[in-house]
Amino acid sequence: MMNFKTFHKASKMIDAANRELGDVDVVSFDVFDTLLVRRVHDPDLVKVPVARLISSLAEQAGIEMSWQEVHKRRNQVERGFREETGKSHPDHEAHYPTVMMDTLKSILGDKAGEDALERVTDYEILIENAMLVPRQDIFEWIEELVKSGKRLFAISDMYFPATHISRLLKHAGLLDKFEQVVSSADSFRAKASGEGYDLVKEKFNLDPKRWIHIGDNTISDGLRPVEKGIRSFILQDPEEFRRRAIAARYYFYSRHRAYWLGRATQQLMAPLQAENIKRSSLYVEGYNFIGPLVAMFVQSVAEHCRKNNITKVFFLSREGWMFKEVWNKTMPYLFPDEQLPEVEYLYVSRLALAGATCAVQGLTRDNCRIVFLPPGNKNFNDVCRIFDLEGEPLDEHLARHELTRETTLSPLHLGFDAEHSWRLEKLLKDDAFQNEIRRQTGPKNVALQKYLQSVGFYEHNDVALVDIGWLGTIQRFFYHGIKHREDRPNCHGLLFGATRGIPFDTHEDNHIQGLIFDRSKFDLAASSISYARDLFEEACRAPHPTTVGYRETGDGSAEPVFRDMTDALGKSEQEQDYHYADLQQGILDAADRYGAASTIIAGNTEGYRAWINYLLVSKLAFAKRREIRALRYMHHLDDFHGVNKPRGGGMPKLFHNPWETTGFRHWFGSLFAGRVFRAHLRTMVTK
Amino acid sequence: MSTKKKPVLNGRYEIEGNSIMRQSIMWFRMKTSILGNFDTGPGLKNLLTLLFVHWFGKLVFRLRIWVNNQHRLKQKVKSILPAR
Repeated sequence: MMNFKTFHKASKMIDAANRELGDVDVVSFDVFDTLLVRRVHDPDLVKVPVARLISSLAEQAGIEMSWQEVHKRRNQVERGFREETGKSHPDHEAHYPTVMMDTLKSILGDKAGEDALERVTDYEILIENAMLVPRQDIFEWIEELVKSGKRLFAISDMYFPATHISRLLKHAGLLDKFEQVVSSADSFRAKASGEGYDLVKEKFNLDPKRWIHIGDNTISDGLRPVEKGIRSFILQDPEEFRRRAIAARYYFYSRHRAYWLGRATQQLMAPLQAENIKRSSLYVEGYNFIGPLVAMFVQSVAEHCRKNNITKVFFLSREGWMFKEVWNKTMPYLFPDEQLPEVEYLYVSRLALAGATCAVQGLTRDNCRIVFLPPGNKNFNDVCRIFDLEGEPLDEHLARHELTRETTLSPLHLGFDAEHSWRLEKLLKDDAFQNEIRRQTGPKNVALQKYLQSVGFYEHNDVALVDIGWLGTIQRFFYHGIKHREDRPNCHGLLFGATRGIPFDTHEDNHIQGLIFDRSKFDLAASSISYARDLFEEACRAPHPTTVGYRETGDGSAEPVFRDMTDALGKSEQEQDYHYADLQQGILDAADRYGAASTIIAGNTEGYRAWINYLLVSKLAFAKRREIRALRYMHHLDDFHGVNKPRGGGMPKLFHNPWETTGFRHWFGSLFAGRVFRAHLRTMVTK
Repeated sequence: MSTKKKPVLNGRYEIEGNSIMRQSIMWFRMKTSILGNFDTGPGLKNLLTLLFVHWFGKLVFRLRIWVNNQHRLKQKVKSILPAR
């Protein structure tokens, strides 16, 4: 009697099969772990997010049932079904639509209908699709077989019927290669008993002698076809076993130690087979470092909104563009119950809002402090530039307080005198000066209000303003621009990192919170984010110019006005966009896979803190020199910063942040990363 | 900047740029200095197991499949071992 042949490498199996193809008309394939490999070590893990969805549907129907109970109920129903099938068939097979409908009926009662079944099925197939990857060698071989005119069949022992398996194969790009997809769920005649082969033979009138079967299971894909006279090739790939064993280790460790939750998620996110091609270092960093951080941030934004009944999320330009893209990619996996706020991309910037913010309250002391925070800003000309003020009408007011537009007001510059600050304080209390400011900025606020009305800003009670960070200046300006309105919503500022350099004017209806790092929470590890804040800004930045104001359109609405990109700064920004294109692509590709991986591993972001901290410390504070060189931006445009040079600060520090230096100091800073990090922590604790 | 291209998941099934060796070095730093909050951390035993699977798994899994397929060898070992 012939025996099945076992191979440990797909290429060797294909070579051996090709040698026998001369007298073969039919090639059949097992589907799971042969045609398609799984990212997860245990296929049943896919049932967990589905149980969460059913639990949520039950909650909407007023039924309290945890996802663990739902999961248990589904397994009970499936077990019962298999036992029943076993009484009339040699194989104890299950039929997904029946099992799932029975499960839903047992939980939702009368509310379980075809709609609920379709919704749950669609979600389970969505997760399955995300977890399945076509095996590259076999994929290419199948294309050759199709060209040579062989009849191909996909045969699976699975609770999904053939229609559902077809959807999985279609997603993998394989469906059109097969004459028929056959599943044991439809007939309860499986490969495990050998009846599945009889069924295919009878139905399609096949000759076993001219038939090869390819699979991975020595019994159902090896012994059984051989008993039926079919030649069989078994693929037992040790590398696949190893990969799955590694995924299993990460998963099991993550059950006991929260540290591994993020790492296990990243292991499931990793590209496999044809997806895992060689990429540039920027793409790799986008995929493995910044991508997961951004996705974790966006997931925590969604959780925050659900918890606080926030009905609309405004992603603030320009970093909000990336957050919104990641939101759109991850939410179908993470929150299939669709209990999510609306989302909108809001065109704002510090420059666009700065003018509008003065229209009601005038120019404040905090506004001036913000202007003189960057070292490039020196005098009142910088105030005029940032708040878009005309200088000449203000000269007489400045002169009343013995100031000119050129008087040095920043302590970082030569010519500064403490007396200048006192004079500025008096100027800010001068009503005539403030009236002139209000006169100049009034139209800007009117245009802002029209723009906000056109995007439905005032139609909600609670809105989230999502931005990269750091001081919350945009939200500060934004709130001051709208706070005179009675119908203003409560503004929940959700920032990637809140470094809080200037105290934020926190109210019940206006506050900020850093979700990855918040200076007010004393998180030493996460404070590493301040090593390279500009990196995150550039990595998330939208591919459109910055907003500089708003223009009324004439129909009672307003539209954003963008910065002219034809000057040298604009061109350097375009160059930077081109430089970071791979990094951004890496982040977007990571988001595609993060949703499914996270919903299987964790389901929420509570446990990710340890891994987020590890990523930030390891990749920023203790970054390798080649990583810094690869990730460092070429140009960073900041219209807020002036062009003045501050006075020298004495001898340069030897142990300096390597992200901000080049040459010897960069080399020295990364060599003594521990010393630099200790100095950084000292700053965090003392200042 | 290095122009050398690399896959996102390397041949040892580690995510590129965050190898198990790098995590082990960070674990040592966590134990010897103040780095911040890492919950319970990775755990030495887990790190060692993962180091072994990532670095030597190739050989181990080949050997495992070979042993599994040695039916004669299994039968011989069974015949030598006392019956339970």
